[in-house]
Amino acid sequence: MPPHVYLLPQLVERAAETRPDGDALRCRGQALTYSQLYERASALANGLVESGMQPGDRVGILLNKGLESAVALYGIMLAGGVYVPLDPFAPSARTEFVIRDCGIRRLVAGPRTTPALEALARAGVEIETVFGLADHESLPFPLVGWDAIGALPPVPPTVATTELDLCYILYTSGSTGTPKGIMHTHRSALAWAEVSAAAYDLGPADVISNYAPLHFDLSTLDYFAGAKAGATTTIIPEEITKFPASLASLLADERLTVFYTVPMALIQLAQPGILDEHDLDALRLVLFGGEPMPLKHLRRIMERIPHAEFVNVYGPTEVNGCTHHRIDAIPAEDDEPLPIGHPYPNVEALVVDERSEPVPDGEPGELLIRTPTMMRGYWARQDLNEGAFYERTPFGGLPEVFHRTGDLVRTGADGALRFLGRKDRQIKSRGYRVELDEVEAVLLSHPAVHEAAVYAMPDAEGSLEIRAEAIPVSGDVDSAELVGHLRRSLPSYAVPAAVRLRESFPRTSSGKIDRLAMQADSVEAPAAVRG
Amino acid sequence: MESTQAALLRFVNEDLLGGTGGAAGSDDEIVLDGTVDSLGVARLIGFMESEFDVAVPAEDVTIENFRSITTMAAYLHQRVESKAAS
Repeated sequence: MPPHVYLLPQLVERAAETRPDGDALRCRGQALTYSQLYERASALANGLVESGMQPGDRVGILLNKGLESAVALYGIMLAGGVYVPLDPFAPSARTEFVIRDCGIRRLVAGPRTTPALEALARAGVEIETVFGLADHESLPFPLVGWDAIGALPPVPPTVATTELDLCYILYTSGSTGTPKGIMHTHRSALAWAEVSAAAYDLGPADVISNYAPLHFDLSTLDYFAGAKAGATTTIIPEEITKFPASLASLLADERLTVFYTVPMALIQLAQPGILDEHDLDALRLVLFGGEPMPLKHLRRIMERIPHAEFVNVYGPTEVNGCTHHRIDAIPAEDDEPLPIGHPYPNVEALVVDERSEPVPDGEPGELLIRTPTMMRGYWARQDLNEGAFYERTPFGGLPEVFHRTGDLVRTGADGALRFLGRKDRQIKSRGYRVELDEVEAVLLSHPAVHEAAVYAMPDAEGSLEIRAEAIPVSGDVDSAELVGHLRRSLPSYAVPAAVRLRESFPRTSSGKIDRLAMQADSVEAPAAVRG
Repeated sequence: MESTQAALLRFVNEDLLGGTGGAAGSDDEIVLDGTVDSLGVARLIGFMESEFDVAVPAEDVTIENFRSITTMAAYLHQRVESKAAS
């Protein structure tokens, strides 16, 4: 019997023993076998420990998608560290916030992210060591290049890590105006790798897509369930994800067997002319999640890939995946939303009312989830952690801890859960999670803005588009200036195309901003307002 | 041709990048380097279709055609020509 796996990098260690020459990862025509991945990650771990890194230290990954991303995340974990993916396309102020928030002192970076490093240096961020770069005169940080790392022992250092320790922190939109870090442990991440690899029968013959960037939690199935199965994960470069025709070619050329993506990508692939010329015979499973998939688009993509199984995967980053819905047949013409389905084995789901009492089947309520795939909590945010969990205390006096998802659901007659909406103002736009209150808080921080309102409207692709309106302090500010202000703090997917300036807002009888009235008004006057 | 390029440059630098301090040049690989995201590509297509009165079919939305403002202008030029010829 093979030794038990307690820690994520042990998945790679096992695969390096059982299929050392099998490709762990592919990207842009290059590959890393499991043995190469394990050796390179081990060498990086030695470099991190030599630089003074202590177990539990957070290490940032500031890389474009590529084979180095995998070496970085396993190397950091083999050194006993916690990896924190930094979005290479985020505004510098946001990256700086994350680095300061969780105390990152070491980074793994690459040639394409040196402009981001230069911006951090200008902002006075202190970094002790940057790995993955050598000889960059413009950077004031000590650098250790891949050549030097490659000269270190390909055997990991000895560190005392348990499955209860943190392995990564993913930052997501926070309603108070700054992002919040979702902490996962080796145990919670491994539990998701085990559950998902088993649910989808992943094996060494599978070629799994990595569509999502590292800072987006879809990537954890691609990397960790992939390694659990000893499968190959094909990293899809960022630019390909923006071009459906190029993405279709990659799906066919790489002979992907499992494609895990967001609804928008499937909607784009289903457009006429995109998949016609491509042979997708190898594709056996299409997983999608992140936001609701409109049925009319699902029908079109299922007709174009009729032999593949389609599964709607649901789960906030806080709990990884927790329910899924296997689609047996192309849905008929009724346009009832697709269910989010049934809990995975090892998951308890409760639907509760405002007093946290279970509601009768069929009634709407908030979804609470109890699962080993659940996060440890939000990094250094006791205020949020107090509201994020529900403790049920029936059993031997010890609380059973559930995560409050904030998602409103109801159980259908077939027992499958349906997603109804949010308790708060979190939305999904093109698969990205955005707190409308964060956008509003940043807009309001502009000195020329007196009042701000941000809301979402359905877009042409079945997702949501962010709209913003503001009452200026005086007349001398325009939309372009305010959009620029938002772009300096927020990721591009959270920035509205324009800010509509008005002299007053519609109000409710109690004087609150009436965002519903704004939405109704916005249907009649679409966002043709350019600054 | 020159004016197509100038219009695309203006759209990218003002409408897509305004306020970030970023200034794209005609030959910068603005999608590959992440300057323009997927929403930006969608907005670019909308701009091309309304400003130049051509249809941009989904199968033409490729890295080759959208690599830089120069390649986008060349693509648009060809679309306008083929529309005029038909």
